Amino acid sequence: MSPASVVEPLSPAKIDMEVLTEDDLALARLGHKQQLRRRFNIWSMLALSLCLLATWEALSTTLIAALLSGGPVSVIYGFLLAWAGTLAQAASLAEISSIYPTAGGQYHWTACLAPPGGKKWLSYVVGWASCGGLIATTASAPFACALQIQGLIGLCNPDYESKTWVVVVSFWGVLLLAGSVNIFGIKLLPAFNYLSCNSPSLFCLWTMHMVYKAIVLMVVTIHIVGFLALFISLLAVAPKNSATAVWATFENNSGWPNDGVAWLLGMLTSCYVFIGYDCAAHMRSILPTPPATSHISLS
Amino acid sequence: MSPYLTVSEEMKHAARDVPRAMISSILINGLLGFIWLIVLLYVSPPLPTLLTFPVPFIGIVSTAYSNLGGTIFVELIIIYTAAAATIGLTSSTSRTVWAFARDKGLPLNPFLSRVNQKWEVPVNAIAVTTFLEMLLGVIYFGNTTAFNAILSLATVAMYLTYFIPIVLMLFYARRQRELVFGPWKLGRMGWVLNLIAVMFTGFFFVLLNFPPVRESP
Repeated sequence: MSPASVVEPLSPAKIDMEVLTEDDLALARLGHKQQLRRRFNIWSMLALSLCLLATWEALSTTLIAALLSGGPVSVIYGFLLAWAGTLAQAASLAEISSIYPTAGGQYHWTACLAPPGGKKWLSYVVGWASCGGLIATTASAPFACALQIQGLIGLCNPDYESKTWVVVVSFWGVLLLAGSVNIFGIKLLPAFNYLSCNSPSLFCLWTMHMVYKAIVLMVVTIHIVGFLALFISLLAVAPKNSATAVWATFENNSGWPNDGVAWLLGMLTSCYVFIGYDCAAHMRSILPTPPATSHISLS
Repeated sequence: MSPYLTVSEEMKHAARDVPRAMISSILINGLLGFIWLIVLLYVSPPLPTLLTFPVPFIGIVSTAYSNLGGTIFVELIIIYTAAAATIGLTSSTSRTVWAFARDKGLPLNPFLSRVNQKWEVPVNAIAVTTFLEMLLGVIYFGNTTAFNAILSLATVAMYLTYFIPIVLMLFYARRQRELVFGPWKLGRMGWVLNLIAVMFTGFFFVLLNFPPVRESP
């Protein structure tokens, strides 16, 4: 019996918080086959979130905007403010995601939390913002990548002049690579299929799981061990600025007349490097036939 | 083992592990990011020197190491991580588009919500989102500040999606008696954290619509 034939999908008008939570569990029982295949442990989820955020790597590319709009002071204290604000934000969303541990993320939570009159249109707004925002977030990573590739070429050939098409072509290249890995190589990410009950071959799954582990291990290692290596070596070899230069220098080169405004606008860098932590929640819906729990009908 | 038991265990884990992963990744990444910023600022040459480099970050690293090999190594790490993050972000974006299409929120929803049975992936959603992202790159041909525009588009849109559920939670759902919390809850701190989050997110949602660096007229 398929879960969908047993329970009709929830429509926003019918969503009631208590009922939904009850429904979630009830439908999870009905849709147990699909649920089982979503097995996902906290370590792979943490590894995924760490690497998606890639905070220090992203800062390396975006630092300059904040430096222009307020200098080191703007960068340091702006980062601390963004970190604190993002923690409050993430804690609030984490609590919501724990109430509704279903696929769909923010637009689904909106449909669940909103008063009856607002469920549908608010959910639409959030859904569209989510799709647009994630598309732009996804585009930002290969863009940073392409700018760094251009810089690397220039570093190796001092006579090289920056060319726009090099950036665009490497941007496209990284995106196409990511798209193909997602289409053809997703079985390399079997955190989602791992321990699947209806898998044809246990051995096959085990092998894929090992490959997956190797990939995750490599990215996480670079993210953390690579960080330590770079941070220690940079501090060891480079001449250092004075503490005042780092902790107490404000300069406004942003073109905005007001220093306070410049400082606040420089926050884009610090806010940007923290967006995307909600991706772990979306990854739950990785499977092709999710149980009816995660459906809300917007039509 | 009873499938019922396994499933409810599974649900419980999801409701607890996703919140934990979200919070820990921000704590860990925030700490690494903060240390990295301080290191970069300590070893950075003055801003005017920095701006002579096409990629200012390379200016910082090459001045600090004064060694080509070391700088190339750092660059490769940054490029590798950004490419790996693109893979994960593509998965996440395509799933969101696919889920929203499945819930009939997007045009072309039968097409976008189709899943390839053999590979078990939403091929159409991946292809369409990749194509749209490639289009975003074209802006760069006309405008070299395109990178900042994409960053602020991404941040503003994501802030809107964080803002609305938290506002609803704070001003509506918390007042409903039938709200049943999951296993990961903030307790009494919930109100406070929601309020801080709403103020922070709302304020920067408005502000980040402005470009950080103003072009001289």
